[in-house]
Formats: sequence, structure tokens, C-alpha cells
Amino acid sequence: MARSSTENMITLMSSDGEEFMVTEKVARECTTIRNMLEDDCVITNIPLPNVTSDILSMVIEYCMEHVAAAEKAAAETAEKGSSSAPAAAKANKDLEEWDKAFMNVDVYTLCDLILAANYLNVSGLLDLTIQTAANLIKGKSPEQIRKTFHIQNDLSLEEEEKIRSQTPWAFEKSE
Amino acid sequence: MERGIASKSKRRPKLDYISSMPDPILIEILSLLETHEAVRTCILSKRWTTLWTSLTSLSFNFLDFRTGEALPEWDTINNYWDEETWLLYYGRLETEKNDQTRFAQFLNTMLHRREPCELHNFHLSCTDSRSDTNYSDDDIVEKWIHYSSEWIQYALRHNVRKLHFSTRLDESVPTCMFDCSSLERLHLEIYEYSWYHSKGNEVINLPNLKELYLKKVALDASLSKRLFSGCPALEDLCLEECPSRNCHVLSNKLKHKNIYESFSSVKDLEIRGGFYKDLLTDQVLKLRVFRNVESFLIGRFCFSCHLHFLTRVLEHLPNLKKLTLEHDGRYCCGIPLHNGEGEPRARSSIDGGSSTSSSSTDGAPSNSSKNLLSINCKNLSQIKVKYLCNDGSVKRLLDSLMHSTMELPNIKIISSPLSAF
Repeated sequence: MARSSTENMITLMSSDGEEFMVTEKVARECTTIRNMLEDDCVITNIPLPNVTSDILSMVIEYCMEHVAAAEKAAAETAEKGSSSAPAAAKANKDLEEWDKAFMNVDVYTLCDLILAANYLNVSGLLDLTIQTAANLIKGKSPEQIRKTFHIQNDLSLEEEEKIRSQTPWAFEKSE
Repeated sequence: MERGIASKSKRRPKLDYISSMPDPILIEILSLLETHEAVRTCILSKRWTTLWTSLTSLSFNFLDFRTGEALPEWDTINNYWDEETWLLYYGRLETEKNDQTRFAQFLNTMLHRREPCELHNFHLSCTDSRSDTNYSDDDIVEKWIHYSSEWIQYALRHNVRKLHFSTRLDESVPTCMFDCSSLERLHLEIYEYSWYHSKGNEVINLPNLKELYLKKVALDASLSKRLFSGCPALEDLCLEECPSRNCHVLSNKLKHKNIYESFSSVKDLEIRGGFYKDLLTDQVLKLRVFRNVESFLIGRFCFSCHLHFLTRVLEHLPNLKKLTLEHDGRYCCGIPLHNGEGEPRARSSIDGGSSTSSSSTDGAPSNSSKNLLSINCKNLSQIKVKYLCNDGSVKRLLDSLMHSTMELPNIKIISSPLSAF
């Protein structure tokens, strides 16, 4: 199972033609790419027409960080024979902190990351970004949510009143 | 690597990006919110008007719908309420009825208008932690029983995978709750003064259940037998305050092979509450050895008088890696204690086993009996002891643990105060 040090490199190409060289291990974090590699193991150049270079570089950054964390944990376990709980808990917390800092982006980048994580099928990143988006909605009034995401309200006053009257139970609680 | 987005940081026009995302993604985002909050997004714009009708995760908490104050507490000293308090009581009861009606209306309309799509997660909490009084208003009680049953049946019909139900009324648990082939995680909690008692006619068929949490469910012989033979895929089990007295029916191993089989895949075993002693010794341990259990937690472990019991349990868990013993100082064998002291008789027998034992407070002979604790789990690498107050019993327990694990090479014994109260 152990891979040699000269690990396969894969080139990922963004929609705007930028190329990113990553190790196969990092690329495999994306289930979509993993499936491609399993179908055709000699593939080394993968065009990703749905992802821009900005976003792809962020997705790769996320995958690299998480691969490194997993490798570090595995190495520690191998070294000591068993994983020590406090160290593992600290590593988890560090990774959580990293994720939190990584999510410090504007809403456009966040939406792009969600789409990219969904397309490339990076489950950890998808969960993280979707939770971040949910947190941006949580506890806000409809007007605040519209402002956060620049949502244009195309409902007329009458239409909005009608919807409110059909679902009064949702608006009874203070907004 | 420099982050691309930061280096370029181009200004973008204020476009409505989020609304252009596909339905499944938006629904997933909304499913992470409290349900009433998710529904409120219907007036954001035309794009959002019907998204909430496809939510895959629903969460309803009566507490969110409470407006009035808690009911006054019964004056336990005088057993008496004056007229004023009675008026207050009726007023607040009325408010609670109104809140209940609004809660029910919200759920009924919501479920009625929801698209007939799969439901992954259903969380229903009908408890109101603010009213702590043991009262019963027939009208409120009857309505809860009627509604809860309907709502849970809705979830079961829509192939729910994770079901969480907390209630104050054991009668509001519908008998159909334990018959669902899609269910993977079940969390059932009864609050306050009641326990769920088997009605004797529940059909228990949970072929895909992996995680089971029960609080205040009386595991009588018949229920526990049917429950554990009805969950063949169970991996995680947590029982909190589940009394299981009068269990003698499970002694016949062959007849109840299924129980052993349903337990045989359990990896994490967590038993909180003071009744585990009966449960484990009378039912489970007579059956078989649990080779798969790697982590075992006992809550309300009495440091003073449960050591012999612990030895017996550990004999049945040969592959245990982690053991956690918690003691909150309040209970001993399920009996509340006022000062956290254990039985002097049992404690004195522990003293004998600890080589470094200092003078014992009750003056028992320090080497009158041999160590009650013996541990033979070869893979055991961690023992955690959590205590409320660091009295003599903690030290004696640690000494005793150290003494009986000297043979184990990688053992780590950690003790820490219980936090989070």
C-alpha cells in the first residue's frame, strides 16, 4: 500500500487555463477526480472547465492542509504505537481553527467554493462551506439576509403580504 | 502557496450569487437551520418562495414557541398555594395552551405543505425546561399525545434516518416508533417525572439502526429482549437512567441468542445512570463475551462500592482499549447520597489492595482483604477517571487501578474533575 516517495503528480487545469501541479494524494481528496483516476490510471492532466483558477487554488489549499493533517496523525500513531488522545484532540482543534480562518471569505467566494466543492465532490469542504452559508442566514431578518447575499427582492408588496398570510406561523416569532 | 483570491482581489458587481445556485444546494443550506428560520426565507424573493417545502431536515423545539413564563413552583414546604398563586398558575397554563396550539399549527401546516420528498433528519422536542412543576392538565396532555404520534408517524412514513424525540409524557411515545427500516439513529428522551414503560405490543423492527440513545426508558424483561433482538446492526448504545430491575428472563443463553448477536457488533458502549449494575449483570453479562467493544463508559460509577462489579464487567470485554469511569458524587448504586461517601464495608476492602494507601478515614484494617479489582484486558491503553470532588475515594480508586494494571505495558491513567454541569 505504501507509496514511493516519487509520488505521481497530476496537473489540474482551471477554466481560465491555469495549471496546478498536485500530488495524486491531494487530487484524490476530490471524489470526482478519484473516480477519473480509477477509471483511467494513466491520466495526468485533468481539465476542470467549471472551476476558475482563484477557486481551484483555494480548493487545493484546503485538500493539502487536510491531507497533511491526516498524514501527521498517522505518523504519530505509527511512532508511538497508539494515538494519544490529548494530542489528537489538539490536532483536531488546530484543523478546526484552520478551517474557520479559511472560511473568512466574501459571500461570492463562498458561493463559488460551494459550487466547486459540489462539482469536485470534496465532502469535507462541501459540509464546511454549506455550514458557513447557513451561519450567515441564522438569526437574521429577511431584510438582513437580502443585504448579506445581495438578493434582489422581486416580490411585489402584495405578493409578499400574500405569502406571509399563507405562512403566518413562520413569522409569528420575532424576526 | 499564496492564496489566489487574496492576490487578485478583484471587485465584483453586487450580484445575487446565492440565488443562482441549484435547488439541492440551497435546500441543503436551509436544512441546517432551525425549521421556522428556514421557512422564513420564503419571502426573500420569488426564487425562494417554495424551497422550504423540500427541506430534508426538520427540527422543532417547543421551547422556541414559548411566550409565557414558567409555571410557579409548588410550595413544597407548606404544600399550599394562596389564591394569588393559583390565579397565576391558571393564567400561565392558559398561555402554555396557546403556545402549544401555535406550535401544533406550525407543524401541521408545515408538514401538510411539504413536498413528499425523503426526510433525513427529524428532531422533535416537546419539552419545556422552564416549567418544572409536576402538574397535569388533561387537555394539554391529551393534545401532546395525539400530535406527537401523528408527527412521528409522518417522519417514519418519509423514511427518516435520524429521529430525535424528547418529551415530558411517556404516553406520547407512539408504539410504531420502533418499527422503521430506514432508521439509523434513534434518540428517545423522557423528561422529568415519568419513565417510558413498555406497552407490551410495540413492534420492534429496526434492521438498520446503528446508534441508540435511550433516556428514562424502563427496560423490563420483555422490552429489552425484543428491543435488542430487533436491532441487529447496532453499533453505539447509550442508556441513561434506564431502570432494568426484575430481569431474570434473560438467563437462558440459547433462547435469547439474538440479544447477544445484536450486541456483538457494538464498539462503543456508554451507560449512564444508576441502574447499569442490574442491567449489565442480570442481562447482558450472562450471555457472552463482547469482543468488539473498544470503548466503555460508566456514568455514576460509585468509586467505593462498584469495584467488584467492574472486575466482572471487564472480564466480558477482552478487547477493551478505553475505559471511562464517571462519578458525580450524587449517587451510589442509584441511591442519592448526601455526602458522596460510599459504603464503609466495601471501601475498606479496597484499601487492602492499594500498596500506597494512606491511613483510611474510617479506621478499617488496611490489609484485611485482597484487592477486589483485577483487570485482564490486554489492549487496555487508557483509563479515565472523572470525579466531582477529589475526596479520598478518588485516590483509593486510582491506587487500586494502578495496582491492578501494573502488568499492562502502555497503560495511561488520567483523572480529571467532571466539568459541564
